Amino acid sequence: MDDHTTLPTRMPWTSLATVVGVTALLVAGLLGTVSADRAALVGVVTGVLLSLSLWLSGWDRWQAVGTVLASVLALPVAVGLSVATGGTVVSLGAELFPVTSQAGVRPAVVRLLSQVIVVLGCLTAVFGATAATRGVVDTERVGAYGGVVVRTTAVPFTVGLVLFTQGAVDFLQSNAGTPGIQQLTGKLLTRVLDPIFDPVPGRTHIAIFSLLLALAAAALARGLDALPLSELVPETSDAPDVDRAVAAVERTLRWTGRLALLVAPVAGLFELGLGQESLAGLLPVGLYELIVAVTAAPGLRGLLWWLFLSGAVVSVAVWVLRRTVQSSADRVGSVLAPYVGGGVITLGAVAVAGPAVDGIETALRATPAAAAVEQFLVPVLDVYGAETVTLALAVVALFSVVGAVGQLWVALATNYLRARTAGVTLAAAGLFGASAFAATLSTPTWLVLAGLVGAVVVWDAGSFGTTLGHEVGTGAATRRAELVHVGGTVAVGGVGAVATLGLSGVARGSIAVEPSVAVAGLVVCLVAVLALVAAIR
Amino acid sequence: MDRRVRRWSGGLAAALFLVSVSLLTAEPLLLAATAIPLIYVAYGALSRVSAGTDLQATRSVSDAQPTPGEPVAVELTLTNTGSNSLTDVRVIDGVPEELAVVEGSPRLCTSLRPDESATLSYAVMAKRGTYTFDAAAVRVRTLSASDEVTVDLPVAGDGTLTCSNTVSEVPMADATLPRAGTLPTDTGGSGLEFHSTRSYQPGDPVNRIDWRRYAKTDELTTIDYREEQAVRTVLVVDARPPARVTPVPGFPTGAELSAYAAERLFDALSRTSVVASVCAVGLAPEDVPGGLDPDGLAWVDASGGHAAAHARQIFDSVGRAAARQSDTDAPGDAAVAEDESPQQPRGEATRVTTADGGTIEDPDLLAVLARLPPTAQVVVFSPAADDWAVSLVSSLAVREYPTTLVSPSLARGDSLGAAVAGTERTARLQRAELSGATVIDWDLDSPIDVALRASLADLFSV
Repeated sequence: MDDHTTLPTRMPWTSLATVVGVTALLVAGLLGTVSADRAALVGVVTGVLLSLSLWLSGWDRWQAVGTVLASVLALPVAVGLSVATGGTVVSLGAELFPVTSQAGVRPAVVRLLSQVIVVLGCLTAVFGATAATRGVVDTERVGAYGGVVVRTTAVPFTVGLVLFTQGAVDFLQSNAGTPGIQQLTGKLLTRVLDPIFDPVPGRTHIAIFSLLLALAAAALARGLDALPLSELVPETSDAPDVDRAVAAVERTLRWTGRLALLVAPVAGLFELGLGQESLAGLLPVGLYELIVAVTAAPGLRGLLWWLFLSGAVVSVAVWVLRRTVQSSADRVGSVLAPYVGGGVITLGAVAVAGPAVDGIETALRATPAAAAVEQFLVPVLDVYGAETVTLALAVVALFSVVGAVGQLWVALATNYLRARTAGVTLAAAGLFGASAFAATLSTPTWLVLAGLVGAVVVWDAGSFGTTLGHEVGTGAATRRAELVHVGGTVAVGGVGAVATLGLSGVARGSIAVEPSVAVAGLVVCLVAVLALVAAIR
Repeated sequence: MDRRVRRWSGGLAAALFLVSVSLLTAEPLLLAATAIPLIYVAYGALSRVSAGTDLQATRSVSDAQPTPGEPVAVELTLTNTGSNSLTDVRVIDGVPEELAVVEGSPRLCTSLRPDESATLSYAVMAKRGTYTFDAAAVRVRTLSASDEVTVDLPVAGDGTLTCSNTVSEVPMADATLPRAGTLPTDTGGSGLEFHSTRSYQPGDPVNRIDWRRYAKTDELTTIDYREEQAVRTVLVVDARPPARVTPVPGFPTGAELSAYAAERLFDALSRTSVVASVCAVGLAPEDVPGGLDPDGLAWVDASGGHAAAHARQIFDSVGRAAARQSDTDAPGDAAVAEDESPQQPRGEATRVTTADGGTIEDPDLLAVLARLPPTAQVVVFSPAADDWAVSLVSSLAVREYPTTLVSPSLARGDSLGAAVAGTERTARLQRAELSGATVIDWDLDSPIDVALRASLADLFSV
């Protein structure tokens, strides 16, 4: 039996049903112990959305559509991730704080932390289980999705940065009496740009004028060369000979450019070395005045600048168009899609900016952080406006998605998380962590133990099913073996749970020493057991 | 082969995690709960595949001598003859690489108690040739799946699948006509059957002068009898790359089916003493032992010795060419023929696009037409995957050869491609029929004998 048999590595239905069913039951049970219901629900939905986004970003059939959808979904995922963490903290913070005594701070913090981890664990579990159904967690897909989210973030980030700069400049400018930043930059710009666009009248500026002329001529020749003029002329005998005319114009432009480029340093040397008087003396009066009029005319400079710009724009536009036409529509779509998605997200954020900021403000005012709202949020809103703040929040949330996806990618790329069982491993890890932290809340013991055993069952059924699908395929009859295997795992887990209950019962009655000594002793025992197990293996 | 799978090592990490959380949150239950991951680690470490594991396998093939294109049901029964229950037994039957599984799966995963059996059934598509099943690959795992043993298990029972086309049992008797070996023509001359009378021309044989009429009317008339010619039947097999298409992977290609039909007809004709020649078009020199004729055809005349053996060689060559093509091509949507023509012996070979327009350029077609004896009747075997067969048939009709086109229908399934290919083929067959040939549309669901009988009856009653 070859391990490299290329069969679809989807797991059989029974294993998949076990994974999804056990995860759903445990997530429902564990989230029942969290008091922040709304945040918990958002966390679950976020898990589903995240795996849907991953699937969409690798949708081969409609690549462009999938990328657009994944890109647009990045914001709900980002907001969901933020709400699941921040929302839990905020809503529980309102509930748990302020604490009455100093001793109550630590339990309250532990409680808060545990609930946040339970919500995040359930999010991970839901994500892992839904991802496992389609096998969407692999290095390539996660990398592609990460790229989509990064490119999606680029648009709101840029727009946000521009708005922020604008707000900052306006703010600095509005502070009358102090030297505004705009004054400084303005001075700098004037010093650089004036010799180019607005030269001092009454003297020659041959060097800079020649340079500008050379630039404009080269750009125009380039643009003319790029345009498909001869292709657009009908191929009839009486059609004008466009080719020759274009070639002549191009040649003239190129020679003009070269000549101007040659003239520029020589003229520069003359202008700097000899000075205007010697130049005026050297040249005939009429010619000198003509040169002064031409080279110092701001209108002509502007014209040359615009010619240069239009030539460059035409070349770039034609190049982009050629590339676009040569690529497939799907490829163009999937490259551009994240930017389109980013644009949609930006517009959406700007559109809902007012209500969103109001909602956040109201939510924060209900928490102990109300003072901070007055101190920080309100002044910031006053200076930058609701749009900038909303965009900034969206960008921060998107960065959190980028961070989470990046971590996932690193785990996959380093093979720390195997692509084949990544989904079920994530689901099991989420459930395990959530169950462990749920123990510190007022969760019934049976639910904690069921969560711990269930996490193992989810991982075991998932990895067993994946191996089975890989070796035997989903077309074969495998249900009996799967049920027997899962039954064995549940039975062993049951023994473990009974042992846990027994241990905790015995420990409760018998420990008469200081709790810290007992803990230390237990740790020693545990290390011993670990060493024993390692030796057996 | 015994292999340990380090599945449960994550349990140690889980135990450490629980200890950490327990210390962080001062929760004693979590410390006790380390028993759960640790018991799993022990479970994985301690479980072994027991030494007393014993399995037996038996295979049965429903029809050991099927016809090509026919699904053959195979059953593999696996019995646990050991004394221990096996919780996870995975078996993959050693299906010959060339045969495609068309129904069910040759793989199984199940649990077996002592003396319990499990049966795995599937069907393979029969192809021409003899195929030997390999030993079944069996992998036994423990309940914890942390120990596995993999063996190649020899299988008792049927081990081969032979798909040959011997015709000894084909009921061809009703197709044999009394005057086998002769072809009545529609021209007058010497013979037995009355055809017509005409006025006497100098030189007519004296024994054909109608003396009674001369006695009555004093005019010389000559009686023409229906002329009879020795039948020379030429079987043309279309084995060009466009004909080597298959509707589903593993199914015989159009060329193979054409060769198969031609072989059956050839055998039947040999038994009825019809002089038959065989010609395969589109083979590469390396496919045919001894290479091709100078005109690029593989042609066997009945007149030479060992004609039957040579003809069989040609039919085998078609199978070889098809197998070579399927090795180089990726199997997949082969409903639409891709004319890559790497096997074309002559580089300038062009694809014929119309029945009358492009015929002259095709070297294969020209070679066949040049090679045909003047009094032959031609049976063309082609899946009609392109216009070549129609061009040949219409060219033959122009030259007044009695022509029959036997075309295996390759369209399978409901896919759009299959529907388009089927419609195109129907149109081609209609064009062939309009050009004057007898067309036999061989639907693969009916036995080939039915189509052949139709073909033979037609052949002898022209």
